[in-house]
Amino acid sequence: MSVRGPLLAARLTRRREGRWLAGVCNGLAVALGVQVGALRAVVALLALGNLPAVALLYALAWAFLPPETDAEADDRAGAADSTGPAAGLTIGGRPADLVDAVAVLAIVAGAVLVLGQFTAWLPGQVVAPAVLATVGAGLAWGWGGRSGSAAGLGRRERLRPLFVAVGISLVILGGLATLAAVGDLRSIGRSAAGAAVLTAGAILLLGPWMARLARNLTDERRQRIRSEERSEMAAHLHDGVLQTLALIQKRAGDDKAVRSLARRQERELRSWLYGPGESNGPVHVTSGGSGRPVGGTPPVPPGTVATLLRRELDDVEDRYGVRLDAVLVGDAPLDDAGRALVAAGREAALNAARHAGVDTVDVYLEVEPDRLSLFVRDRGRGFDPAAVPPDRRGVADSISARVRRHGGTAEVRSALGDGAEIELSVPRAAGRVEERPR
Amino acid sequence: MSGTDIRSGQGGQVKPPRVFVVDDHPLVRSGVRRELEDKVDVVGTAGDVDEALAGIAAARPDVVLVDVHMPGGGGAELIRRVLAAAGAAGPPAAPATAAPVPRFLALSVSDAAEDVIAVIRAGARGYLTKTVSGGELAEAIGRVAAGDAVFSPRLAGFVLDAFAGSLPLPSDPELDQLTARERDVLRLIARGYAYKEVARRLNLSVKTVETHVSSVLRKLQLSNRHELTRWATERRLV
Repeated sequence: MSVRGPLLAARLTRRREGRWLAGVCNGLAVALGVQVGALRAVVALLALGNLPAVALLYALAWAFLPPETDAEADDRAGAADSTGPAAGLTIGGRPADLVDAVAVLAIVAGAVLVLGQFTAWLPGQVVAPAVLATVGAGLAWGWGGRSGSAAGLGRRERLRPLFVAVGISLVILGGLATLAAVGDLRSIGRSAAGAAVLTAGAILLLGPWMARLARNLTDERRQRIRSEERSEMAAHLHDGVLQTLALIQKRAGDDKAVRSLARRQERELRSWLYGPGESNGPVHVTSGGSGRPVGGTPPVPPGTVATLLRRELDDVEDRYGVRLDAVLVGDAPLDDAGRALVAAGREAALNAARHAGVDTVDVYLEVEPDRLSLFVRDRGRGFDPAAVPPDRRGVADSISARVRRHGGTAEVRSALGDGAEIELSVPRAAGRVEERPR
Repeated sequence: MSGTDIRSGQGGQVKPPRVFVVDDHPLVRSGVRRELEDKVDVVGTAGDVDEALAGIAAARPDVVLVDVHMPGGGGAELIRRVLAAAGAAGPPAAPATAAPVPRFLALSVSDAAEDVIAVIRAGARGYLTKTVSGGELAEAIGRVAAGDAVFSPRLAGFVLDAFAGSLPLPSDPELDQLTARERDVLRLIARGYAYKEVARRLNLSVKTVETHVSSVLRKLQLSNRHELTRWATERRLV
């Protein structure tokens, strides 16, 4: 009882199932959530009072309301078995709400009364042909324009041309009759009336068709977007993930290769799902396809320290099959000092990947107002910094010298069996610039 | 570093903590259960928020491992509902002994700052990525069970980023800013140091490090620092 949908929750359609005439009342009742029996009773009563008005309204609804699609019919059939025309208690699988029902019936009655005033004011010779023409349009569109493609429409398909022909004839007949009637009314200019009648006829014939066309276009576009999204996703999965899975199966014995492949795919999928971010450097495509994943983000030019660092770390990961867990705090535009810092950091990470004998290495970059700090830490076998022979100056040359050239510092902390941490720091160019008087 | 830590030391707990695992992926659930089997007492699992609410009420775990992203509301939603049901206005401040409110530890693959901050602010006592090893996870569970906070390097990085710079007019200086010591601790955690290593490096006791981290967690949950929310939404970090 509490889960009643809002008014007009269902699409306003003509319901074929359980209809008496064109299914207008039936569809309206379902859409509004009122009892179809009551709606029909009121409409019948009103018709007794003012047949032309009711007939006109009904014919208009017939012409303009789309027939219920098979999917909608199925939905409703699944929702409840009491949706038949004779079911007086529930409609559309939900109990009719008395207040709503009264409101809806009042609206229908009001519309009929207003139209009644209108038709009463117009002479009968005009109203009758108008009803005739509208009924004709309803026939033509009710049968002719049906886009439903369900099986079991064979009989209807055969009858369709007949109904269309009858409908169009009725419209023309109505138009002619109106013209003739108006001809007797000297008060209205002949040509104006003719134009009006022709226009009305054209609207009656073309209006529903155009409305239906617009509806179909919207439906089509929605479906196209959905299927494009699906195929984009499928293409991506095929390109990246399936290829990687195939490679992993082929190289199942090679721990390092498998880890590296999985990590690379993880990075790529992350960048595709979440956009550019933390562990997302250059976008790798294992398939050698278009250069980057469909719908992925374009590779960001290494304009910042963080971006360049990520890119370098990804490269080290790929080469050595270790996992570099990078935590980056802040970012700064790339300058020479930043470049040197990242290059030194890359050497430090390579060193750890090569010699530490561990699966993961922690990297931490912090951008402070006056300096950039980079830490590369592993929990590997470690070494004694003092005992590194002078001829193996890899650490000193490639790491320390680089940052020292830019006024930075490099510190190595390690002990045998206790991992190693290399701490790098360079002053920020931006900081130096600000020191100068302006 | 290992499971023995939890059983012997950690806040005087002798029994292994009772753990409930909430994750919408069956593979993850069974994987976590297998990894933790001999280290903690896994008392139940659930695949979505509703199932988890019922399961937690029935199993009364000490710690709930919760996935950040789930159908029917993520980890943050689950935490809010459990805490609301327990009548707690916010995250439990002290170890509740009478009516045990479980503590939450978030596990995720997403790493998006806004998700992490959201789940912490909802009341989680820590956040770990799913790449964490079984041993580290068990240790973290022990820590959370004892009422302490668990900061992964990434979470520490997020917090440093969020609390970077000073506010011209902090609405509550106590909550809106990190102390120099808290910053030092977070930096070391972000660099990959375990609590024990942080303590050794800063010449502190592990207990003091835990106190600092819990204090940062409290600030993260309670601070109205306007930048925190803006920062998290601005940065779609992965």
